[in-house]
Amino acid sequence: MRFGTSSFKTLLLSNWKRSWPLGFGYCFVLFFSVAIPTWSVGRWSDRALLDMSDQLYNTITVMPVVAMIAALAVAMVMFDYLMKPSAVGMMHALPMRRSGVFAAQMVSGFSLLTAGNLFIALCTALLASTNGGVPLKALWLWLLCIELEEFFFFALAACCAAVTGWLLGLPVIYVGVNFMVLAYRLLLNMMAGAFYKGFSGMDQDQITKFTYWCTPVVKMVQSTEAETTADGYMNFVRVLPRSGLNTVWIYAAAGVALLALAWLLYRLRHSETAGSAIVFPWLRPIVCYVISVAGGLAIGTLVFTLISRDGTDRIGLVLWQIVMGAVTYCAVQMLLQKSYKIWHRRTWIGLAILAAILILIPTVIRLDPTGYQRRLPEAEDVHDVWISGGIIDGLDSKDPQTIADTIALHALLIDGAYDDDRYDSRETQYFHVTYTLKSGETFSRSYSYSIEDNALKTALGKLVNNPELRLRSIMEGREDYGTDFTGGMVYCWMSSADEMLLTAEQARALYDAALADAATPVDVDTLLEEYSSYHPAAYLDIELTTPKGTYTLRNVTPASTHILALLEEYGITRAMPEAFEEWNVLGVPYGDDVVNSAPAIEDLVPSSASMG
Amino acid sequence: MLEAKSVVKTFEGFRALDEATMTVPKGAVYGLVGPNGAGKSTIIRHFTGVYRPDSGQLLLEGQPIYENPDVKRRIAVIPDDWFYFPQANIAEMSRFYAGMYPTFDRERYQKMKQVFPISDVQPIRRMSKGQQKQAAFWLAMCCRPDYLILDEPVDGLDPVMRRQVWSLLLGDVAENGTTVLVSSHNLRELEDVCDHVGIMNKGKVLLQHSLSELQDNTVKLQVAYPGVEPELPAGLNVVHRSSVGRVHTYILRGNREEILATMATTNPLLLEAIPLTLEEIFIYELGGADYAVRDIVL
Repeated sequence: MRFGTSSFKTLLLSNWKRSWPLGFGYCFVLFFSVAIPTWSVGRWSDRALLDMSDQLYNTITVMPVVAMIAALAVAMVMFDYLMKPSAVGMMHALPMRRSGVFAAQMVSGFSLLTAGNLFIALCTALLASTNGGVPLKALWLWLLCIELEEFFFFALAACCAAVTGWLLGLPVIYVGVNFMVLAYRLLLNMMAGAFYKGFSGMDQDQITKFTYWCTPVVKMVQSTEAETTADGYMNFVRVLPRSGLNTVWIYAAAGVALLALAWLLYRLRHSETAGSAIVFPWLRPIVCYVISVAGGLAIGTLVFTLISRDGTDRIGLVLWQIVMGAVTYCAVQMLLQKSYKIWHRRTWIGLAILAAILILIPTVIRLDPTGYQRRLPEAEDVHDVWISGGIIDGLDSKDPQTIADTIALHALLIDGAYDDDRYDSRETQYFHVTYTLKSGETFSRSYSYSIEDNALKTALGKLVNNPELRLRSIMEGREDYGTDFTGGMVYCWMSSADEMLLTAEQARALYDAALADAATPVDVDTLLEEYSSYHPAAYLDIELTTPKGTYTLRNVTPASTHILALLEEYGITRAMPEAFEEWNVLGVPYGDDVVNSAPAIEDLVPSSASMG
Repeated sequence: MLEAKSVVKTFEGFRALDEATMTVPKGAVYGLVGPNGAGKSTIIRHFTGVYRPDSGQLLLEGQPIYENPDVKRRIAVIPDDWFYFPQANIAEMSRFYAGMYPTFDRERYQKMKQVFPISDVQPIRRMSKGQQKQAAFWLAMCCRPDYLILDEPVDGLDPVMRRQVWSLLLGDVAENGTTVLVSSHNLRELEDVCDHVGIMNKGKVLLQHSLSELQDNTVKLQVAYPGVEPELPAGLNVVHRSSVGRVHTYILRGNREEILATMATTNPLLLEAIPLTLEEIFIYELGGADYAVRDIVL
């Protein structure tokens, strides 16, 4: 590969001359998305340099998308000759080695992008200087990032161009390669959601990281998102995170490997393959199965969702996936063979293999070889647990009792024959749990189930009546606020009445009432009933103030008998009847009977002074 | 000298070249003929370094052609489907070829403006097929190649331009010793220009000879006798005979002078040796050998 030869220079010049409209278009887009906005933000600003710098850092975040599209367009222009038999005949008859032609095309393409980037950097600098300064560091980082990103994407596009002899196939393959892992991740998530009981996304962070690394544009956008940092007093500036630049460098290094691969593939490909969708015979079955399996899973699920009544027939889902996979397979075969006549023995064998794969995927998921569905942590291994869903308010707890109760309920959901497909019951409940283990690992599960089993109801009742959960369900606020109340306030946003102020004594009494309500066991059926109804907490703000912070009472339901008794006593139920009307309309018992039946506070909690 | 030695090329199971072997002598005008799908264009793309053979060798004066820029610099090619950059004109393409071929002759390029009645600043894409072919000849001949490889070169050219082009080509052969390999499915096209001919069918080179060798060894006679046709003298190798009235036509193998002397002993009223066409040579050379020669030449 001799870069200084006359042939190389001739090809380079010829490429530049041919592709100037593309370079012009590229500069046009960048001028209006980088240079003009940068100049514009600094025009009327009294901190022009910082604002222009911020703008450039914000621009860096979207540059991976620009780089991905630009690299594809340039690759399509530079390697279009590979797609036409006459053009490839001319280019490969020239007195140059294949490597020389490849190098000339790569250098032409990348230099075209680089020239555009340098031009835009110059324009941006010139325009910025009219605002009083040039944000040199941000501009340099913008240039460096887009150069490295374009290098990676151009090498990737060259790889794609080297495996196809069909110009329209190039963007299809390029987009496929860019998003294939993410697409498969989503499809497998979807399948796991359909076939795993309790599925709540994949546990392993490593898989997520791998997925994003294999989806370069997403990873680059995430990594180069500018951070805001304080630069002196009240002077916040945007900066490119160090990890973002590192990520771009890593992709640039990967671009070198891709470049080597593209060069190898380019040398291996035969000139006569111009016009073929995939030029390497060994690659065709891989492409065919990758697309067909993805098409079967995605289109099959879509069709099944559209025509299925309740979406619970797993066999029907698999059958539709096989049918749509077969349709995709035939379409891909027609494209690869450039013929409608694909019905030969090999096609039938291929279809059989595809059907086997599409049956195997849900079967393997259902058989659960990794033990995903039955995974239950030991209580002593759990650092904290986050639970939510239905009658359980979102709660993050390190309390061993709460953790034990959560695991007990979780175990019943795993062991029991609770069908998570039934959504028609009034008593359908949702349960989402995320365990954070002491090892640092986290994993989550989600269930929907119908309470018809006494054991399950008992476990749920135990969990929701756990004092910690119950208290935090009723009252929001930190323990270290203490009980040195200074007052409080009740406000009903449904009512025309003004907010009512509470005295310190009233606030303390309400606090004690909340503790008493939290300590009072509540029947699960009552909670289920309340769950499907409105209650005053939906309309009331009750705040109890201490010098250290404010407690908020929430979830004031008919079961909150002590709080309700005090609200009645303070005349709040009469002053703000709108908060309670809805409740009555819905037929939930409320009135003197409820209030009068409440046990005395002092019977339930020893003393409010002992709290806090 | 261009050589193909046992070249095999398969396109997804189809054997386009099947142990094809041929030799184009230096300074020759070699006509490669054969029916459609015989493998002519395929072997030509091997000679121009476009295709890589599955097996066998393609050599130019003993040097491999594939991936050998030094050798390919000595070859210019006009393929059947000549490619040009879509927005280019002849002048721009000439600069491209001048950069690729050190032997590109700019003086000749200017002179050829007199030969080809086309504008060199008009975009090539706007030219007719025949004009594009003229442009291809213009540029290829300015490269001053040692070896010129032409695939169906005069398709689309009018008769006057055909004559002009062949005249230029033969002038280069005479002046510079340029070797020309030209493929055609039409023997009559090549008859006046080739001194060597190879015939291809089904991926094989069935036969290759110099035209003079063929013509020296085969004689076509027209003979008329006053009465009944006598018995021909023994020792004559008659390949073919036919009669129209009292005029008999014989194709005989052997030395022309010796055959004429022998036939004179039969006292004919008329004895005349007439030139053989390429078509006849191949029909009679290969006739009866179970080759589809008629399909090839007709």
